[in-house]
Amino acid sequence: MSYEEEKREAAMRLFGALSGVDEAYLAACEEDNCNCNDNTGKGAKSGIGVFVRRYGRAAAAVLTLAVLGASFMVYQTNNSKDGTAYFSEKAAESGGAFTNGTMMQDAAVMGAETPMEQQEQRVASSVRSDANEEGMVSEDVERYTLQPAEGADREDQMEELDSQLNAHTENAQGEMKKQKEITQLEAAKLAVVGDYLPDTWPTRGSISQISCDDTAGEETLTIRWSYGDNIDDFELSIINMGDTQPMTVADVSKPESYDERLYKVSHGETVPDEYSQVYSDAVFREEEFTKECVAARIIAYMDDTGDTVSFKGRFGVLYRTEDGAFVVVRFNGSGIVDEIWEMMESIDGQN
Amino acid sequence: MKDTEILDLYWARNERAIAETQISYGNYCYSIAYHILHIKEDSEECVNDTWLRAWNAIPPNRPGRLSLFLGTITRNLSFDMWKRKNALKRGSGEMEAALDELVECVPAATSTEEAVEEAELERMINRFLGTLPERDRNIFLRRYWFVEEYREIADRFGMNLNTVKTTLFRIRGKLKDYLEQEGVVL
Repeated sequence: MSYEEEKREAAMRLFGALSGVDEAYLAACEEDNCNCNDNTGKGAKSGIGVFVRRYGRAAAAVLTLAVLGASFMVYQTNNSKDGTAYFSEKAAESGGAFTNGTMMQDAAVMGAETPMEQQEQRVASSVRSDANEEGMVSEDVERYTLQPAEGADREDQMEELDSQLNAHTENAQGEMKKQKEITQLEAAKLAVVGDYLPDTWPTRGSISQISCDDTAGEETLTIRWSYGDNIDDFELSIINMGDTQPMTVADVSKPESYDERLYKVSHGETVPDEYSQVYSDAVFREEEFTKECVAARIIAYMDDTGDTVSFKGRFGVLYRTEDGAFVVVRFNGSGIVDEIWEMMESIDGQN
Repeated sequence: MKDTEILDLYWARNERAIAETQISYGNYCYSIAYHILHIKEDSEECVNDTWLRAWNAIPPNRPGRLSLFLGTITRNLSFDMWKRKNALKRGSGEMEAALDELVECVPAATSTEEAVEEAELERMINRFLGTLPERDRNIFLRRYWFVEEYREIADRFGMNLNTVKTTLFRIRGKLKDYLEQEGVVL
């Protein structure tokens, strides 16, 4: 069996093993049909729903332009002896904005032969309309313009255009999703979770992304740290769990339940069943959390070649807010024990 | 009809159980099968086989969630059929794409160790899934359990297509790291 076939065989084993996923995870997955854009959790699968979601904002922009245009024309007709002449004059003054906008769009759509083409024309035209409105230069407009293609290429282009359109309209109309990227400054201002940002970070690398997510019923602030080599990084999650206490709080008097240095791989076989849950996701109480806890959870791993050692691990620290809510700060990834300890120690919380 | 009533029919060995299951979960199971097989007739065959398996399994089983019980049977049957039909050739489609992606999760093997047992692998995957944020876990399951396309997942969760791709790429990397840390050989 070739190397490639072996890998494929292994992938099939993985796929097969996924049939044994916990029912609770699958049940949660099935219930998680929330569409964060519309906050209803419904209509995600309907064709009309998908279309409205994909192009809804563009359609809204076009509709707004159409209404404004119509109102403008009515206004001018009522206030001018010759409305048509006035409109032509203003169209010329605007550098053809009217022509390139709604009117051109309608003409283009009418000229399209298939529903697919009409859809493409509408999307591309709506971008042009937005562009005129926002004073975008022609190069920007071209970026959003669909070039002719067929079959799969055409589908890909539609996807790409859709993606560009989403980015464009999101910038123009503000972020409406619950899960969103934010700045460090914005993160620090977040109620509760913002209080648990560390003051000290590792000396090497930088924050690559901060995102906030409250779709799962608990507010989570996630900070991704990149050491710059695209391989070693870590994620720090600050989770406001409200009244729910995490299930895997470690008892520091029982290092055998969480200390990774005490066991050999494969941990699935060496860690006693009674500890397996806490062992896989140890969370320490703030008042019991020490550098020793970090050392117990961040251990050395040899890479495939046996030449390089990296230090990786995962653990959490449990805090209580002034209101008695549970907040967990989870570390997951690579790091040096001293640096990770300093980072975790610099979390003031609401003290 | 409620799940408990359908289950009662199974336990009473009343054949109406199958008809009621078909009504309640026919589309659901067909959807799972079709995502894997992409062939109407094969998908229907797997769904019919699912009812037979369920009939033979209940009793003695009394599933907590009938949908998941049936869905898992359908997934297994569909995957078995897919393997039979694709064992000797590389085709195209979402299943191939999903498997190609899962190759990225395969840990580097060392010759001295034996391949991990199926049950142990399942346990490890569950442990790994437990470390993921819920939304990430759901995205992962949508892709590799239900074999849904990226676009479907993006639509389902109201996410940008590229965000879905990036999220899955990151999770695959984590899964590989995790399996390697656990010393898994596949």
